[in-house]
Amino acid sequence: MDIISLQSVTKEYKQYKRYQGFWGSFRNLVTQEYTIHRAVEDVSFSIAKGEAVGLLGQNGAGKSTIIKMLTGILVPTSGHILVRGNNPHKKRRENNRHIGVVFGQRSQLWWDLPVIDSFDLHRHIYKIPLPLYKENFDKYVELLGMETFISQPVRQLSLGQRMRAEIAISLLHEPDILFLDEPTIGLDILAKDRIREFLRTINQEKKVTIILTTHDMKDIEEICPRLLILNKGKLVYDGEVKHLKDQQDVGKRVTIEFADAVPPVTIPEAQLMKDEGKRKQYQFSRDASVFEHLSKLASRYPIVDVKMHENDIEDVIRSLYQHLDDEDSRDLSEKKVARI
Amino acid sequence: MMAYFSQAMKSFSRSMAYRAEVWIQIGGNILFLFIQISIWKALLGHSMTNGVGIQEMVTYSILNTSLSIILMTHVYNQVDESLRTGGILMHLVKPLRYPLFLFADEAGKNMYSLLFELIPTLLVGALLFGLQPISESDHIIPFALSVIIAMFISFGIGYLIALIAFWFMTTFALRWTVEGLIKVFSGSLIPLWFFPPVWIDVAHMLPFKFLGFVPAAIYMGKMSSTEIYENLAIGLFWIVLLYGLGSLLWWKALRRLAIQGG
Amino acid sequence: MSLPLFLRFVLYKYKSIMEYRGAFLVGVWGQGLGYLADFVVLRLLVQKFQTINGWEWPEIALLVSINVLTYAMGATFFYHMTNFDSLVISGGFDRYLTSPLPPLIHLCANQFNIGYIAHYIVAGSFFIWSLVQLQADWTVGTLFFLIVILISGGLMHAAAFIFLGSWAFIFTRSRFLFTLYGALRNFTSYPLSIYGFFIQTLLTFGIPFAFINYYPSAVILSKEEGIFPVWLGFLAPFVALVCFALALRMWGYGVKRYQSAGG
Repeated sequence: MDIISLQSVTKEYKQYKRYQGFWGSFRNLVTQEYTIHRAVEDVSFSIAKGEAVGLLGQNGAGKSTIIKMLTGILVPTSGHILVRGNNPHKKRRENNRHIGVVFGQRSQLWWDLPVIDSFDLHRHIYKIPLPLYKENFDKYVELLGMETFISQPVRQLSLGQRMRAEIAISLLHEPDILFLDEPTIGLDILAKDRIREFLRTINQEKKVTIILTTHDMKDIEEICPRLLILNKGKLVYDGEVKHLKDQQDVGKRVTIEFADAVPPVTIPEAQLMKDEGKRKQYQFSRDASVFEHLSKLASRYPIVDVKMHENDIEDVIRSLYQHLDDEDSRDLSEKKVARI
Repeated sequence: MMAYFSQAMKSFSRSMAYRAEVWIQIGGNILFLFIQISIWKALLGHSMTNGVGIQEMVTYSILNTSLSIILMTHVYNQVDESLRTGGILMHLVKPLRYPLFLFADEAGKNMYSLLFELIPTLLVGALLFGLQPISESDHIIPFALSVIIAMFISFGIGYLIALIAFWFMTTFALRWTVEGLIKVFSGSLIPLWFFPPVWIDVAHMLPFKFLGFVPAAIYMGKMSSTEIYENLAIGLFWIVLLYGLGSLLWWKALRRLAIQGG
Repeated sequence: MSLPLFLRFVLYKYKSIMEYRGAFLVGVWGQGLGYLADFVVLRLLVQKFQTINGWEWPEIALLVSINVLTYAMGATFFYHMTNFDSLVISGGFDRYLTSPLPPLIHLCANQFNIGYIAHYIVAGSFFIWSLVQLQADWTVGTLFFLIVILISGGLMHAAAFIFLGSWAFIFTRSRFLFTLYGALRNFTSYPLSIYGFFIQTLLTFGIPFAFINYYPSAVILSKEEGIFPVWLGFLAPFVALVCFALALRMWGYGVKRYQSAGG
């Protein structure tokens, strides 16, 4: 059963022409000129109950717009959205009872009060029965290691501690879906690990559907088997992470250490990524015969060491973004040509 | 010397950035003026009280409303902010004398308010309600002097309040108290000649009368020559007193800061 | 949102303010003195001139104290509307759209302002004092009317806050509107009859602030003055309800706009 489904959802904004200066502010009041900006264009996907999905895309790709539409904050211009079988805009408050939201900077916690007070207030807002509350409270405090600071005012907490409290509070009322917007941003590696592990556990044990936006590929790898990638409002990938790796034309990345400092050398079928004099990093294209090129190179410049890198998801994504950007500029220049 | 001047210029141009809000300020001032004049019309009608008629009260109100624009000290906001954020340390490290720096900053703001708020308010008020010309041309210089004295006193009071922040971290209560006293004893809403007997005496003992009443009274010729000289002298006395206290407190504040560490 | 839940919010608000007890008390004290000064100025005026347009000191005190009290009541719940433009710009408002509570009520609960104590104490004292002084024909009816007046006045101030705050959904720069609101409030600190036709009409039929304190006071004090009949005072609750309903309409419109236009 799909807990979330989007069909041909488009979100357009009218961007009114804005004038500068003093007289400009008067013109702004009467101006009717606008351009249409498509933040989300004809996006369709479904998410089944209990899935954990990552939402990826460059800034401005439409990730937060989609999240806002799913949580009922924004209304789509066209298309259908169903969350928990409801229209998220029309049944916003009812849906809100059963979703959890962790939106980075916009905190649910009261700044000057102990964390536990915010939790208590939350209990009353969501009418959580006391036994259930106690059960969840104890479990999350233990899993996230919050005993040390649960009674401290939020303003005294570190970013990592605050984030843990935010995630915990958003799960107290047993939501069906948890939306997270960049939950690990700015955290140290231990904090990140802890949160990722927690989210994975929650997803697997409690079957809480997780929707996560992030720029950190590790988040996706650790938590979400499924990945949706947005580019300029369009959905360009919907599937599993490993399939994406296969899909992209990503070759081997090689770090070569030369005996002496060497000028930037071009190798056929490869791109120079990093040049540190003696050490250079190259990205080979997929079908390149790496060893052949390397032995030819070695005959010109003595090589001391060679390291091959496992292509990680970041490279894949980077290459995808690059590919998409190239496509876009090609489209633009085509359009320019067409106009002439 | 140049550093202080440039600070004045800086705060002047910073005020320029808030251009749009000036219109609202002027509008607000005119509305406020209008209310005051309506009250005086209701109180005085067409008769005279204490030798003062409605036209004169209109002049009095316009003068006071206009003057109060440059007598609103912002010093304590600056200092409060500096202390809270720790920015004060930056100021102390520079080869500037902080008090003078504050003064220059205030002067810049006042210059801006003078040009873009006071003069328009004065002109609009005069056009709408009718401003009497100065009673005697001899009074122009004393009037100008009294305005300058008023500005110095205003800064001096604000500066003292601001210094209190070094001990109490907040100037809020003291600020409201003093502003309350100013509201009553500056004569800006009610001229001192309408005060009951005991109140007049108290008012003359305080420095607040210079923040509106004295300049307006000189302008309107309500003071004899002796009274004018007396008041100017007392005004100077207050300036010396306030700045003397100010220097003392500043010295103590620096010591406290050094001990406390900010 | 139920009453017990709202009270819980207030309790937590109180607790968080008490973290800064010193600053809070100092603020209360300062405000109290500021308002006291306003009353002193009026007192001095009336002392010199006996009346302001026929209104004696206790009557003026009644007029002003109703203005301050009703403002405090509205502001206790809705002062946050003056900063609402920053909440919209920062996206902080989204938080209220993702909660199970109605956004406006949630805002009031979360941002409940307990800092108006000075207003209540100072204005409340003058209110009671002036009533005692006036010794009008106090009946249960009059007392009931006074309570209704206070509530309706509070509603009108609340309506003003909500209406002005909602502008933030349409124009980002809405804070200056509150300066205008403050200026108009100033007008109603004095009997409407001292103003000319234009102002009297504006404050009766345009922006009906005169219904907050002037007309009701005039009715209680059996005044016969002004351009418009004084029995308008009896309409005050209805005017307040209409204004409040309009303000809520504006709010609803603003939220809808926010949801289709983003922010």
